[in-house]
Amino acid sequence: MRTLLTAIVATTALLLGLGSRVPAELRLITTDTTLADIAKRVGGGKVSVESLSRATDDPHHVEPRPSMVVKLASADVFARIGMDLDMWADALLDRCGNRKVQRGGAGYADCSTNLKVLEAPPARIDPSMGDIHIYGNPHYLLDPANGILAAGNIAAALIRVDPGNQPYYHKRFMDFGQQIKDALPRWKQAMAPLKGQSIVVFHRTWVYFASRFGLKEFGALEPKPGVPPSPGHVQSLIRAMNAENVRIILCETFRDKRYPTMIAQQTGARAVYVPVAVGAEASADGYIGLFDVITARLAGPAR
Amino acid sequence: MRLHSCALAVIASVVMAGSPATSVADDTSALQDAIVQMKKIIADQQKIITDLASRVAALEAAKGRAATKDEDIPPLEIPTGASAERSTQAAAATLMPDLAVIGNHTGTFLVPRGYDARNRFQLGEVEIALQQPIYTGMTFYATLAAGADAGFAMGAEEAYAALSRPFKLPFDADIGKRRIQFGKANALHPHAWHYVDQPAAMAALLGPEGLFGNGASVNYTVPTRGMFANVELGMWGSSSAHAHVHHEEEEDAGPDEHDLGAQISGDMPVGRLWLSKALGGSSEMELGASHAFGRAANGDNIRLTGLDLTYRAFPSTFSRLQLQGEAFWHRRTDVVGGSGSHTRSGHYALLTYSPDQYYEYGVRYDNTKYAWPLDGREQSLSLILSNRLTEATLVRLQCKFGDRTSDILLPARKGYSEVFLQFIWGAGSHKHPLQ
Repeated sequence: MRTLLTAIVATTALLLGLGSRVPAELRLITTDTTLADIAKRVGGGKVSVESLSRATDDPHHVEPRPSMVVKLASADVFARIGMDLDMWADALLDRCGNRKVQRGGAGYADCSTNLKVLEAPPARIDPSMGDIHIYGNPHYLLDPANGILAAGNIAAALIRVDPGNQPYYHKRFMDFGQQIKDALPRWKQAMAPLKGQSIVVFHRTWVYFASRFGLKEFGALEPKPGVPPSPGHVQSLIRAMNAENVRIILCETFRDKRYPTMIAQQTGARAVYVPVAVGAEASADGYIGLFDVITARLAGPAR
Repeated sequence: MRLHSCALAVIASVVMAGSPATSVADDTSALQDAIVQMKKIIADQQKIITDLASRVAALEAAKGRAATKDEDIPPLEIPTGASAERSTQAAAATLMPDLAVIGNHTGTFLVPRGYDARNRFQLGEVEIALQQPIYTGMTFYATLAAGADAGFAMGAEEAYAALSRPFKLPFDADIGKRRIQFGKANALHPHAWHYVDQPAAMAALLGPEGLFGNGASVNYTVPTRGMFANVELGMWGSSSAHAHVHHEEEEDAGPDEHDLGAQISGDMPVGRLWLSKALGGSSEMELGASHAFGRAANGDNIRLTGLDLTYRAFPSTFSRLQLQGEAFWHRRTDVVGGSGSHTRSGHYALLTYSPDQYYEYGVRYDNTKYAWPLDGREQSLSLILSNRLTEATLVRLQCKFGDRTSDILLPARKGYSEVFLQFIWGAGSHKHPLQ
C-alpha cells in the first residue's frame, strides 16, 4: 500500500511539472460555446477562450468534472449564461479557489445582466410545474439582439480585468454589435414568410427567438419543462395541431427524434431540427452563422 | 383644393351649356361630357388619395419599426458601474438562504423474515438543505436530516462553513460537521447515489451511513493546467449522521449495525489525494487515495485506507457511461487483547449507463468483510434501473443477488435475492460539492 501511495505522489509531481502554466494572454472561460464565440469576437487576439461544455451538450444537463476546475482555477474572466441555466458551474466555482472569477469578482460576467426577461414565473412556483427556472426563461441567446447584451457584459468584465486595453475591447464590441444589427434585417427577411405562424417546440427554448421573429409558440412536446413527452400529451397535441393547422415542429438537434417524427407524420407538419449552440454543426461556426443556419432551415421549403 | 376647383369648372361649363341659345340635344351632350369629365376627375382624385394613404402608412410603419429597433435591441454600450453589477437575479433578492427539502422513500422486498422493514415501502429519510454565502469567500452549508432508524428525530447531518482562500492563503477550508472526503462516494448524500443501498464495503468498513466528522479540513488544488490535483487534510472528531435514539434494550444485545464501520472514536486525521485528467473532451479519469487513523473507544489503533478509480464518458448529449470502483482496507491493532493486527478489506465496482436524460441502467458488484472484531462477509451483484422524472424526482429499482454470512445489516442468507424500491423527491434548490 505504501509503495502504491508513493507511486501516486511521484506521478502527480511529474505531471504537475509537465503541466506548469506559461501565462500569455487573458484566459476567458465560458459555460457554453455560444458565449465562447461571442467572447472571441470581443476579446480578439488578447484573449484565449474556452468553453466548459461542448457544443452538443444540453446546457441544462452538464456534469461538472474536476478537469473543469483546472480551467477555472487559472481563468481571468468567467462568463456564464446565468439565470440558473448553468447552475452546475457553481460547484466548480466553489472548488476552483480563484476569487477573481467568483460572483462579485472583477472577472465574473453574468451575461444575463440587464436582460429584458421573458417568461418570468409567477411570484410562487413549485416543482409540480416541472424544471422551471425561477429567474425566467434563460434561453435569451437565441434572440440575436441579446448577443449584443452578452457581448457588452463580457466586454465590461474584460475591461475590469484588463483596463489598459479598454479601447481595443470597446472597438471590437462595437464592431460585433454592428454586425448583429446589420444581420438582423437579413434574418427578418428570411423569416418574414413565417411571421405570425404557430410553431410547436420540444422544450421552451424558443421564446426569445419567437418573440424576435414574430412566431407564435403553440405548444411544447414536453408537457412541463424537463418532463418527457407522454403518449397522452402527444396525442392531444396532434389533435390540437390538426385543428389549428400548425405546420412547424421546431427542435434542437440533440433532441430525441421519435416524437417529432411521429407528430410530423400525423399532422403533415415539418419537423425542423436546428443547432442551438455555436459549433453544434459545422455550418454554425459563429454566432451570426448560427442564426443563418436556423433561419435558413426554418424558412426552407415545406416538405 | 384641386378637387374643388375642378368641380367648379365642370359646374360652370354645365351652366353655360344650359343657356337659351342652345338646343336640348346640345344640352344633353354637354351634360354627358360633364359627367364623364367629372368621373375622370373623381377617379384621378381617388388614385391620389390612395397613393397618399399608402405613403402615410409606409411612413408610419417605418416610424414604428424605428421605434421597435430602439426599444428591442440592446444599446451598443458596455455596461459600467452599477449597471454592470445589476443582475437579473436581483429581481428575486431575498435574505433567505437557498432551502431544499428532499424525501427519500425506500422499500425492501423479498428479504427473509426478521427484518423490520420487510415488504414495506416507507419514508426512509427526509433532508432539509440550507445554503447561503455568509461572508466574502465564505458559504454556509447545513443538512438537517431525520431518518426512520432514529424515529425521525432531526439532527445536523452536515453543518459547515466553506472558506475560499481565507486570509488570501492559497487553500480552501471547511469548518464544522460534514461527510468526510474519504473515497469517492462517501461525501455524496444518499439521494445523489446511483443505487438504493450503500455499497456493502462502505457500510462495513466506513459506517452504516458513511464516515462523518466534526472538525476542520484544508483543501489545496494544485495550480496546474494539465490535470486536476487536489489534496485535502482534515482533523475530524468522529461523528454520526443522524440523531441516534438510544434504547436501553440495545445494551448487551450483541453486535449490531452501530458497531459497523471505522470504529474510530475521538480525533481522526484524514488525508485524501484526488487526481483527475480529461481524456479528450468527452471523458475523464479520476484516481483517489485516502487515509485515516485514530483509536477505537477501547484504545485499539485503527488505520483506514481507501483507493478509488472513476471513469466517466459522455458519448453524446445525454448519454453517460460511468465505471467506478473503490477498495477499502481497515486495520485494527488489538492493543488491549494483544491479538495483533487484523486487516479486513472490501470493495465494490459500479457500472452505469444512461442512454438519455431520463433512464439509467446500472450493475454493481459488492464484496466485503466486516471490520474486526465483527465476523461476516457479504458478496452480491445488483442490477439497478433508475427513471428520472424531473431534475429532483426519481424512481429506482435495485435487484440484489448474493450471499451474506452475518445478520448485522440484513438477515444472513446464502443465495439471497432482495429487491429495493426507491422514490426520491425534492423541492427547492441546493447544490452538492464537486465529486
